[in-house]
Amino acid sequence: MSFIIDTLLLFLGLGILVMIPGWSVFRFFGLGELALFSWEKKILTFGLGLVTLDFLLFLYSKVNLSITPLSLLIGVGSLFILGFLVGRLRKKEQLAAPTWKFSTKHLLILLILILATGFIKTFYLAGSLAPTATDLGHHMYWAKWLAENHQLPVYEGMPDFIIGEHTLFGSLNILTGLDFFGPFPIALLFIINFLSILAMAVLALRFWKNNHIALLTILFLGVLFAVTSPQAKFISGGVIGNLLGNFFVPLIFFCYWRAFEFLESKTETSLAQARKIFSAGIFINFGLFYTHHLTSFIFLFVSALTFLIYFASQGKSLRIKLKRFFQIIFSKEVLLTFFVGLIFFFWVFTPTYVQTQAVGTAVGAPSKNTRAGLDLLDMLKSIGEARLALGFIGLVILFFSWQKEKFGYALTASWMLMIYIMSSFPALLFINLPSDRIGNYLSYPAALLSAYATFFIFRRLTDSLYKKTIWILFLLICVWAVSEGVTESINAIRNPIATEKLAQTFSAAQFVDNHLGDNDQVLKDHNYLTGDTWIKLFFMRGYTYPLSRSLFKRYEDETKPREMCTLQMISTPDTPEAKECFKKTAVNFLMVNPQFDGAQFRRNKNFNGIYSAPEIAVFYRTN
Amino acid sequence: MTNWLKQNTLSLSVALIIFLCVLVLFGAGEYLNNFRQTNNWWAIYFNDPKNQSLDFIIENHRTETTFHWEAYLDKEKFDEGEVRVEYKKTGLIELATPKDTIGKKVRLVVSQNIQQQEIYKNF
Repeated sequence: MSFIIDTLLLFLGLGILVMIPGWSVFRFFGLGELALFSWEKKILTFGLGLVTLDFLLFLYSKVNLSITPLSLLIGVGSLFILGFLVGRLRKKEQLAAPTWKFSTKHLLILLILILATGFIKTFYLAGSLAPTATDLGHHMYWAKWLAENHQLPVYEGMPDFIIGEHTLFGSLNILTGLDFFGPFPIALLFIINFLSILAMAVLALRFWKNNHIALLTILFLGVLFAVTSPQAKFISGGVIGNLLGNFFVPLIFFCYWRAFEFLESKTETSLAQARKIFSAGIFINFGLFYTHHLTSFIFLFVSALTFLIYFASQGKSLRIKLKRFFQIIFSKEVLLTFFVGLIFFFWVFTPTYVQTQAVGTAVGAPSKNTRAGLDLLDMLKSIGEARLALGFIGLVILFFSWQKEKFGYALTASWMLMIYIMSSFPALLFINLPSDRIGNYLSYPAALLSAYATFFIFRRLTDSLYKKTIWILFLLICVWAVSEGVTESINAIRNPIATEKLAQTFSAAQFVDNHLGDNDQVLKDHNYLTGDTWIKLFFMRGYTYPLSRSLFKRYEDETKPREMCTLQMISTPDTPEAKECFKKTAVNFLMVNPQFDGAQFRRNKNFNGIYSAPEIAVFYRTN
Repeated sequence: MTNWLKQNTLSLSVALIIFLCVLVLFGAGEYLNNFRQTNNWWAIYFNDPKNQSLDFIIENHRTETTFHWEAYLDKEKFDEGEVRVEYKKTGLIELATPKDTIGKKVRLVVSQNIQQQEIYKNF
């Protein structure tokens, strides 16, 4: 029954490490003075808490303070006291309530949708909990490194990993002892993904102040296509940065949108409130920059287009809008948050991707076919026919019902358009990044616009002369969307991983670890071993330890020539090239699948077969 | 209190749904996906893989507990035996190194029913 204790520990850990700091910062920014729904507050608190935890650990890193259970509790305790005092000292303002409510019927539908979302995702993930995913293995290495060394990793200079992806996992392990090899990483990603869907519903609610569109957004993002990328598949795959990024982006847009309400001529948002929520947006924005470079990159492009469209469409009222905008920006709250963020970013803890100028590799002419842009078929496959079609219909409707005053219109349109251009025509913007990875981001604005389109069509039906015909057409569209969304999920559900194979890999890893000397080097195969990426968590001797024979196609990629030793030492250990490689790398332990790679070692007198199980064998080089 | 509950009905319901889903995930992790609980394989390995010792270990994750082992110097069998290793346990078999091993290969073959595993050292 330890799973009950583990579940409680996870929620307790999140309560201490995320919700308390989030609550403090929420009070610190004075966000209680805004008209927010209770669930909006909770989601915002969670987002603020994630970023606050990052900043707390950056501070520890700067002053060389170890990250231990005690130091974490002291940090969180201090934040709690600070939040409490600031809340007390702050001048009490009249708390405004949201001007509209959810009816009981809407609440019920909302809960059914959330339940359905949870059910489908849980059903899929329950068969994918074994620690086999490559990306998750890489990330958990760094989280374990953080937990074992009690400090933040610097990633051996590698730009592909960003600190915000590992702070929460590492800290939770330190505080609660939850096992990296257990369901804890997947369960945590599930929570983050779930909250990202709710954040989108919050965003839809604020954009259109319409409960139906919010509910439809959950339907298009949570219930339909619940498993395909970037949903449950990303959870089981451990695509941490994307999942966190997809949670932060709607939250940031929510904050900016609420602040921009002040720019409207008939606004209920005061300047003070706009400044507070804008500051919170900037704070979460820095959290995003500390978490995922690709999402940040896309976010910057979307934001640039949003501001361009919004201000360009203002016409004669541009001057007033800009004046109000600058009133928000040039305030002590906003500037202080911005400069504190900048100081942290450049002087307290700088992400590795900035230090190594990884941005340079993302800009330029496409270097591979996979970066040259998605065609329509790829796009349909990535987003789903129904969602993409409804998304574009929503975009068209948005243009025809354009309200230049509403920031949400510019934002939603830019979000969809910019990601579409970035993924389909990257050369136009000199972007050199994998197009399918960018394309995955389209599902979020597409879901938002699909919801808007569906609601718009539905509403028009009531005024139509051809009610019956259009109703039938509309129902057909709904059946198409639902069947496609559900079929996608069913197709994505795979057979549970054979845990016997995994157990053998880890048993062999433990055996090798027990006999490793200081000068020993290990090479393992990535093609035929199950869960091999997680082997490094047994050794904890560096990210590139053990060496790995990568997927075969990578050695044939002409655009990215790479070393051949890892291939030769396993595939052809007899050859002079391989012998030279053994000398150079000092590899003496080799972990391979005996059915595919055993023969070449068995006939070679320089290797002893020292471990044997059906799915993995270990060979030791003697000469 | 009642007012607070009324205001937070949605948040609490959502939190409860998320909690239940996570509970199911942890439960599935313990009972369905637990690689530590697997019970259909066994492995053999040298107790000390780096030196000339031939002592070896059988790690048993099957409910069947009897193993037969044979030791060969090149193609010639020089020792054999039966050993019982309980489920989820390891058993150490101590084996003396035969004389005249230089330039030869010592193979240890362990079998259970039709399954067979082999480890070896070249001298």
